[in-house]
Amino acid sequence: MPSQIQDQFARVPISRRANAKNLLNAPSSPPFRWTHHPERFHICGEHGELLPQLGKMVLEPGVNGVHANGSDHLARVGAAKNGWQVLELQSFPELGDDGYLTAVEGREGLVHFSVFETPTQQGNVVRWSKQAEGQARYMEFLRDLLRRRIIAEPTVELIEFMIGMKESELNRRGAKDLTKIANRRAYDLVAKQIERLRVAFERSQRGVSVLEPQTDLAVPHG
Amino acid sequence: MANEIVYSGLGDLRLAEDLNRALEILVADLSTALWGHEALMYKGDLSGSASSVTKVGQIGVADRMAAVAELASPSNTAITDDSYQITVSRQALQRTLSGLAILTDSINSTQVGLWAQQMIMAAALRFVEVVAALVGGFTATVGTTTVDLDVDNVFEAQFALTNANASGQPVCLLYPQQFTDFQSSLRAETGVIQFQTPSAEMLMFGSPGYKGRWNGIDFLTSSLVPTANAGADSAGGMFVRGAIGWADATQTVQSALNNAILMARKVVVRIDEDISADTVKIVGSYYFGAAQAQDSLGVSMITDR
Repeated sequence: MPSQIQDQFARVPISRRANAKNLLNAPSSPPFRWTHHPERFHICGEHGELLPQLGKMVLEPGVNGVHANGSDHLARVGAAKNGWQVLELQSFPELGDDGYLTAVEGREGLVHFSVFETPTQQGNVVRWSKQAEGQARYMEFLRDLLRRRIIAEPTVELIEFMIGMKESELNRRGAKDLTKIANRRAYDLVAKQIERLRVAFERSQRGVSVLEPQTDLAVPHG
Repeated sequence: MANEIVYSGLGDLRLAEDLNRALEILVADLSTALWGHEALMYKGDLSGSASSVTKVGQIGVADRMAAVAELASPSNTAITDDSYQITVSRQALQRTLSGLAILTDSINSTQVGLWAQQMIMAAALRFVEVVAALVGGFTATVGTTTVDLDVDNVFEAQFALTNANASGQPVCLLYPQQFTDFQSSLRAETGVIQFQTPSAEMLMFGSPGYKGRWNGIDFLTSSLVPTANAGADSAGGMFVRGAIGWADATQTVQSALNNAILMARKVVVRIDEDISADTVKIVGSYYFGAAQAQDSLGVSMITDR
């Protein structure tokens, strides 16, 4: 029978239609540029490193000064006036043609995200991976911003201010019922953050980068 | 007994399934409480202003007098000034319905009026999305990356605003997960907080959007709050009036064309029929923009997503 069918009709490969696409079942999101303010640093990662905390300049008309024609010069001027610096995509060719930005087609249009994020779709459920690998790459990216001096090191005064804020937080958290696991955990975390900030403060005072050698960080603290 | 008329034998006269008369709405975050909230400063209508950009001037009035010695003259004190710009831009949504889709409709799912009215919701959601994009951009931040938001983070933000001399109704805009983390933390609170009625109310289940007022702060949630730290966190925030400004523009409706409907709050819906393709196009437009006005009047709350 198969041969008869073959004789009568042209066989076509059973495959996806040429125009069929896998669309990410996520709402569209606009392109952006990461930004940084000299006052925005945070303690992050497993070992508690003092690294830049980036902001996001959304490049969509009507948002924060982006013009109706798409021009972002007013947004950039506004950001610069307030002390923010914009991390340009072309500064990071090692990450790809579009630097740290990437996009996929979603059900409502383009979904923009950073190269350190990975969306996965099971059925119609989209999950954004927070796996260690992406986060580790992101942290390395943050370290690199300091190493390459794209972002200036936090000042001694800023770190001192951060220590003061964290100490106030520690006092507040210390006044809570520390027999409760969540309270205890939060208290210990802040205590560790203060310890790490003091290390950064000491390094900064010596004129050394707050970035500690990764080998040193591998040694458990506290 | 034979030849009974049974359902299973009426294949040609019965349908495999009926289309229920009640049309249900698919679940989605339809929270729009932020649209026109008092904590957002409305900076006017730009129609007829000769520009799509408004520059908002700001002056400092906190200069104090100083002691001057006898026979001495005070020196001049300059005025502290600043400004920011709001650009108004078109935000739009279009739907095209085919004639065949409309004429075969049995439950009004392709009713032009329905989709025209939905444009109001689309405009409101877009407004929330634009404002949500701004709250993660304040210089001051609270929270720890990948750590759940808790009551202390809310206090931290509140204290930061107090220290910045902020006044007026504070608003806390959070991603839903951030809010439920806050609820979890609130459950474990002891002391005066546990006895406050608003604390109990905040723990109740509620629809997306306005969650209530706690510690004098309006809590709102939106799934449109963006991510931070490469997707690990959400960038919500707390702010008071003066942190974010917005402006809009009234559209000129060409009534002669008889195809435009002016909906609420300057949203215009235009309906266009293509007789050649037999389609009806519904286009909703809303002109507005929002921008950060005073950085110190807001705090970004960056915690686990």
